[in-house]
Amino acid sequence: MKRKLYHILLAAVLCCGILIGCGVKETEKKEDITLIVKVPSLIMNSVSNPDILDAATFLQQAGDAFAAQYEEANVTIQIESFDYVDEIKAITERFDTEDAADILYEGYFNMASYIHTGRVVPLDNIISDDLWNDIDDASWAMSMVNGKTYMMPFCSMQNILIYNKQHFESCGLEKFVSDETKIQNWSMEEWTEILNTLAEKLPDRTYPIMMYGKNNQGDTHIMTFMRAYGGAIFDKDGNFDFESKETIQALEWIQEGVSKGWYPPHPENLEISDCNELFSNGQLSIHLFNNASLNLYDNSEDFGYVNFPGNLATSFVTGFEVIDNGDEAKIKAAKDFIQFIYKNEEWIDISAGNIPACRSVAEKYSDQITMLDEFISNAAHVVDFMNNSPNWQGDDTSVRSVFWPSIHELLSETITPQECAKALNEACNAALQTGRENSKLHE
Amino acid sequence: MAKRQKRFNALLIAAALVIIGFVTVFFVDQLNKVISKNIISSISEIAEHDKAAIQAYIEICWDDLYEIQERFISYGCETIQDIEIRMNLECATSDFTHIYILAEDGTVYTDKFVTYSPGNDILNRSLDFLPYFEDGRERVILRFDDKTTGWMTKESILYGVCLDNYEVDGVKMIALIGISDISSIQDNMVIDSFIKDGNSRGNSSLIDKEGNYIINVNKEIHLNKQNNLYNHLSESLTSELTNEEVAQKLENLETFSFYHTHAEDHTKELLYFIPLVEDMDLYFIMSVTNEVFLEQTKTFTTMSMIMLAVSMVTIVSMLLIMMHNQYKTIQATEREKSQKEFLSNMSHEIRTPLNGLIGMNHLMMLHIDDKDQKAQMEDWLKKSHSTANYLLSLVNDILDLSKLQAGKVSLINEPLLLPALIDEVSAMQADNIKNRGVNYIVETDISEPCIEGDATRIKQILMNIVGNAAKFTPEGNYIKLSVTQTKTDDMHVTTTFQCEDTGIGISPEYIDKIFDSFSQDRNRNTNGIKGTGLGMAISKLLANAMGGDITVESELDVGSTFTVTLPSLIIKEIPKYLQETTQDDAAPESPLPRDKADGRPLKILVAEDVELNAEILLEILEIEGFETAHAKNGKEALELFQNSEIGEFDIILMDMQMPVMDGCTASSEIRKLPRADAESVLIFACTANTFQEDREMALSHGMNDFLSKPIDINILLKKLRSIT
Repeated sequence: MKRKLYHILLAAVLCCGILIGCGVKETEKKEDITLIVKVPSLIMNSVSNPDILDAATFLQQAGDAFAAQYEEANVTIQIESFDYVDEIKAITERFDTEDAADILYEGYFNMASYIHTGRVVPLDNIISDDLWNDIDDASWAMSMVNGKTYMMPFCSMQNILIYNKQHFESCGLEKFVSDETKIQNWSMEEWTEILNTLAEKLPDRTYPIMMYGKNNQGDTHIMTFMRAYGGAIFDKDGNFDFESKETIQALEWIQEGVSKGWYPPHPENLEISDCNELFSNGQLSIHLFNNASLNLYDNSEDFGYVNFPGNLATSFVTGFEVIDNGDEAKIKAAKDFIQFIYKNEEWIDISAGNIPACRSVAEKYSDQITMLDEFISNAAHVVDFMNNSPNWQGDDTSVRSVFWPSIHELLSETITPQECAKALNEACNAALQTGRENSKLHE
Repeated sequence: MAKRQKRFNALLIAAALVIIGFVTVFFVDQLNKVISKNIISSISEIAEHDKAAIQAYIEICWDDLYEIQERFISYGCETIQDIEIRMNLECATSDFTHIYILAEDGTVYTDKFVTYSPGNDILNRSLDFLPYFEDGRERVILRFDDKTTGWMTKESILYGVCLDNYEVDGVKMIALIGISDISSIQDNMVIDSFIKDGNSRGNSSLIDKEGNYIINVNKEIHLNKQNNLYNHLSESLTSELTNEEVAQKLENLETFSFYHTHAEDHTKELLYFIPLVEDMDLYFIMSVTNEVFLEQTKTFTTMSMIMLAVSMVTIVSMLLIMMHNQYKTIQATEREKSQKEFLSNMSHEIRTPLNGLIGMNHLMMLHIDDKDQKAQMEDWLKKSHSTANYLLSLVNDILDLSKLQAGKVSLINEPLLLPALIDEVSAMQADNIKNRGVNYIVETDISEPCIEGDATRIKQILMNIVGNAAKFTPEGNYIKLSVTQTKTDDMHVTTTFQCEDTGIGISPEYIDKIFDSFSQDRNRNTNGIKGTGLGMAISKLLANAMGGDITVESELDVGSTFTVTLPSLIIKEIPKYLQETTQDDAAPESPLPRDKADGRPLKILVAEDVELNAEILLEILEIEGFETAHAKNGKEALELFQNSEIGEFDIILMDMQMPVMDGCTASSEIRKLPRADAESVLIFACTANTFQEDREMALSHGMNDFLSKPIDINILLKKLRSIT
């Protein structure tokens, strides 16, 4: 009897020990992890959740949901927004500090450069076959370097131009106004005619088209203008070629607009946000447009859409990068967070509004995403403005940093288009060279 | 005296330490106050400098706006677009990020050519500037967090100047406004002082009259963290001023400072307020954490404390040295006084019996031929003898006392039989006590009869206390000597000797100094009782030297009890010689052998340089029937012995200190002589030096025994009896 009692007690003690031991092990495993997710000021136009109006809100909500269900660690998702003009301060200068980003969510044209710093972690191990097949090859191609996927495409925006129909009509340009919601294409002659007419006939302090050269913001759109006469911008080796006849012709056309009054006065002192306000206030006839801008204009019937001069459009792919800050636990949690977004309809569906990276989301919301069909049809006009160039975004030596000063001078009319092209060639190719020399990829 | 002096010194040092403590606390407090005052003064200077820089910067910004307006005219800006273009160009070349002109109806024309109509917001941005200029102020500065892209906010400062009668295109313009990024003014407010690890611990701020932070440098100033001074102060753990008091001072444009403690991290901070020029309605605040104060004061305080400590140690050391010297002086004075007192006592104690001896000798000389005075002569002779004996005991006591006080007494610890020792003491004192009509009782409870100790010295102590009791116990009373033992362990025992009497007792005044030398209870009726006043002092010193003690309890007219406790080693096996001694002591005293076997008297060689001593000794010995010879020094004694027949001399009484050859050398030489009797002849050392080392020295030179001077003839005879 005593022996039996002893065995029962022993078994109970062992069970308690095992349970306590498991409990302790479980508690010990749950490490506190704070993931810093950095995101620029990105408007979102989600149709799946209209309450989410910007990327920071989307990521915070998704982060909270992830943290609530994540069992491997006590994760806190900390979202930090930054202004595009403060990108270097917010990202590059914060590397190797406590404030370094663990996850970056923004446009590829900004993020791509970080891949070459060796800090961006390949994400191939979190891409399932289903996900791979759900996203088009072009997006994957843009996300990869040397066969490894460093960026995770979430959505994209197609950049075209929008025009104020009322301005056109009041200036006698009705023939260029389309009654349909479609993306128009005008020849360069037509562009010249339109801009000249608007410059002449628009009321005082109302201007035909945006132009700016104050800082590096919107530079990619200016590059698109520089392709207006068919200049390829890049040569076959991936170097910039701004001195081609076509590109110089485009630069001449751009500079000509200054004296012809196509732009607000002194566009070299304006930035893209100023032009946003001018257009929004009815003081600008033609301006930039993309999916994210849809919410800005209440009455879409008052506006028409047209490709950039030269019948071109660009596409901004937006997605995720995971940064290696030397903490494996953080890298794992960051990857798990991204996987969580792509695996949960609630969060991957937020990409609907812009052009979703996943076909499945696009199909699901095709009838709710404004102009989705038009943008898809316009894909043939989209040019790859980046050409997977290294050192695009970053410090003072990057392409974006060295590009705009020459445009500023072009618009100030202090240099000729040829001088501008030459200066751009030298500066931007030097930036590319620096990028190539310093390129280091994370294994 | 010494104890009192030590107590006084201890009190003096304690008082000095307390004073030093107070001085130190006061000094540190004053030091901190002075340093704090200096730092506040330094902060005031920095703050004044920064305030001047900020004020100048603000003035420049306002002046820039006035100049821009002047250039509108000088550049012939006739239309609003001209104004906008001018503003655009001015903006490109100034610190302003935006320049606006405000029309009377609230319309805002911008350097970026955007026109903001009243109530109309563009991309969620509205420019409603009219309220800023409605209170009639000529110049305006305020925090303006500009929403430039619809949702991002830029922390900016708005500078505005009112325009007088300025119309363009028929539109009356009332103000020119410049927007500047907050960093431009913050750069003027960065505190270069109090740097640690590259960061300044000083923080500067600019607040408006309502306490709103316009600029808060070094603090995290994300908009959601932006705060109001009064909110900050309300959240303080402690604050020297209330919000109302601060508000009042701000209203009065006072320059002031106060401390407050942050609730979050308990950081103590000094806030220093200076108003900018009156029409700005702004206050410049500099805050510096207490850590800076502590750091600034640390080195100085440490150095000062070290200096203070060194000074204090020096003072205390000097004080101690002075006190030590004073103590030594007092000791020396006391010693001198004591020596004088001792000499005075000695003089008195020795002169008194000498005076008696001389007087009686004189009387005897006067009546030497007077046969009728025979009885008187006998009395004088007895008294002389008694007085000489007293003088001898006095000298012995003084020598003992001196040795004991100097710590030069060597105890001879040998096995002793306690019952025999007590019997001996009792035997020596019994007649004396009984003759006084006092009952003498001995009670013993001895478990360990054989112990190790200096029998002579123990007897000396007991003789003293029993003898004293006998002196002061009147007839019909009793004296009881009790001896008990307590074993402390297997090897040791403490023997307690208690001598209780029912005598006259000791006065309370005297009982405290009964163990002091030359002390006698003069207040009592003891004058007729003779004593040296050294016995108790010697007993006390001897008991202490043996590791024991002696105490006394007494009540006047009731009696006294002296208790002697002596620890000692237990001797388990009684040595044979002690047993024999006991048996011998019990046997009847044998007659003094004066003759050899052949009937010839024993021949004694007396080596003595002092003629008188020699004469006395020779005379006594001859009277006692011995044959004698005299040598005046050691050499003569050696020669006499050398030239004598073998066995001629039976005993040599050798004085230790003699001219030509001392006794020790002579003894050694005699022992070396190649004679049959050189080793067997008995040599007794005779010396006035009665200490153990003298005894040992004599024995080491081949002498057989030791006789102290003046020679007690009975002892000499006893010794002679023992050797034959």
